[in-house]
Amino acid sequence: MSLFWEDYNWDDVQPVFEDNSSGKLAAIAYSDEYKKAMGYLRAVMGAGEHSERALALTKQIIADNAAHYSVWDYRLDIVKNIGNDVFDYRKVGLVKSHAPTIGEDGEWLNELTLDTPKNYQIWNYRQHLEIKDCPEYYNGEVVAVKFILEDDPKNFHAWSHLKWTVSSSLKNCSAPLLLEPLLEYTNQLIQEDVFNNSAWSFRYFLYQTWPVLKSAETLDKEILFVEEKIAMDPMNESPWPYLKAVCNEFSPNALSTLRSVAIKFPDNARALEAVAETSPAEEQAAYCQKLCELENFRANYWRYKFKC
Amino acid sequence: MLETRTLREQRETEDLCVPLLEQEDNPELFVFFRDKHVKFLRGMLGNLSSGFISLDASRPWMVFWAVNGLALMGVDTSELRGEIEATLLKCQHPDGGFGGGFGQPAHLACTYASIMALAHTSPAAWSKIDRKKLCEWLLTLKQPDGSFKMCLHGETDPRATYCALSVASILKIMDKKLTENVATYIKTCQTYEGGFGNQPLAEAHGGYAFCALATLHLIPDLNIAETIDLPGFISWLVARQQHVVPGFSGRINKLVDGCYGHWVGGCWALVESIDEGITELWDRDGLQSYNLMCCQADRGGLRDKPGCGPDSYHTNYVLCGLAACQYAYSNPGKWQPTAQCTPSVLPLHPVYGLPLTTANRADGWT
Repeated sequence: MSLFWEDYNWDDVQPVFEDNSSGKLAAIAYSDEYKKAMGYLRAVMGAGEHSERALALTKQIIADNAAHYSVWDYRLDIVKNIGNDVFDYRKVGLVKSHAPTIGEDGEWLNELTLDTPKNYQIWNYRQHLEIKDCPEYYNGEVVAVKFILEDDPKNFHAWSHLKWTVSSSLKNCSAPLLLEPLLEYTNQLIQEDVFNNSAWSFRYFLYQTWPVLKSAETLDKEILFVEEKIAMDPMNESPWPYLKAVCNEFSPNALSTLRSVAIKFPDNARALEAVAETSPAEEQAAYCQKLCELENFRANYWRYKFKC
Repeated sequence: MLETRTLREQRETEDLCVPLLEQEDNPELFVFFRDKHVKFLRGMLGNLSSGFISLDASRPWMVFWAVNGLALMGVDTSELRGEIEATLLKCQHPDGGFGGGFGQPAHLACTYASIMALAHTSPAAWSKIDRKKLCEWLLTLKQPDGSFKMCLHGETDPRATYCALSVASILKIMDKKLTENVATYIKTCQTYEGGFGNQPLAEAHGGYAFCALATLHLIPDLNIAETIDLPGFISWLVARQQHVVPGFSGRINKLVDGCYGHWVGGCWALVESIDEGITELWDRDGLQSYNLMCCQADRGGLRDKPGCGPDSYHTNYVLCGLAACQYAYSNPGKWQPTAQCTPSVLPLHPVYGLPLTTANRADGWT
């Protein structure tokens, strides 16, 4: 078990402190404890030391400042070098926690993830701890992401990480994540908030990853799904580019499929735009005129787009 | 009646903004409170309390945002030059690039911020940037697919390509090895929505959209219109400006935020320069109204939206957003500005994010 950083012996290390006699713009009034810890960090980081005491030190600085990319990078170096012996999750049984991670204290990492969900570094760090061919790892990452999205359903980093997790499990694991539960998850989130564009984007990602919409029957069901969601609020921007992309990618008759949905929502700018796009050039002027009436504040754009 | 979290948050934002926007006719309120913002940014360059500890790895950004914002407001920053130079050169790493503070490993975002802040200083300070080491370090971050990592173990995304190529360009160390495959990579980050994300199949996001498009502008002799789906991009861009509250959102169905006046609004100058036919497809006055009526904090400084506190980041990028709506540019590459109204700020270099005069001055340094 690791100790608090100051409980280790540091007698052989000369801490490196910033010279503050000049270059004082935007200088932060650090606490003495933080200044001291950073002084030791610069020394051991500069020397490339990979040790348990350095690991304990990085934990302290991350606790004070989880946005510190330098410390995360350094911690990763240490974990990769000594982690296998000291913290191998297989030996300490971290598989039981939500996100087992190789060479790292999974529970600590999960707590930190929940505390600082907008942090860039932490997700990237988790990716570097990938345990290939370990289904628990990938499942654990899905659980961690879902925790974050419960509070913040459009968290950009969490969604990115989920996409990475899915792709990596398919590439690196013989028992990868499956489409159905992930698809069901987007059903649930879109049901809760049909304007959650991140959930739409993830759904599209899933269909790019598992091209099941190549089957006509599945495609028809998906088009119906989108149509129902559009009906909840036809001005909702999210489903329209999704629908266009699904049609373009998977429908043999992309334009007519898109049009068949769009014409069901008359006098609506989003639908009318799609109708206009799928109309012959000579008919577009009339639609353009109507769009300019419906959305006068975008009139210049409609005239540009439909060349009228 | 449909009710969701997105609708509720949108309504709350409109309720905060609309009463402010309605006072636009009051000449005492529809004013750019320059002196207050100058005072705010000067304060952000002074000693910061221990509450700013989370910015310990972002010191070059704190300097860049404040100095750049001051310069955009026409403040003579020459008396700050010595301190800017001293503060940032402490962040230069012996192996090239700049870190987030003294003794920290180099990072592309911090390198961008440091070099763009040093562009506000002097040729003497500029010559202390170790270009040879910088170039070598940039190449260690370059990936075969054309992307760059932000730092040694960092993530790859269009921010990284933008930071790498913009510093290489302004320092004139651009070469083929740096730009190889970059355009192909950027193209893979364009999403079905039309904007750009941080990776292939991501959700489109204003910050990455700006970085992606600006990156393409930094690649010599690239035909941008043939590289990306330009109509798709414009369609996404148009939809980022809302009607009731005419600022920009960064993603579909997300809230307006003053900083996207730059990240999204700033894309317009880059797009308009691609094709002469693309002109005035957005509401410049609307963005100006949002920035002036909703983003100015009473005590000075600029903010995301009413109810949020001001900070250096939002102050700089709301100012950049004002430049975006107050100037149109001709002669791409040279970027000749024409004011569209009585401007509050100086014209911006649409790619580097520096005041145009600052960028042109640094361009003359060797």
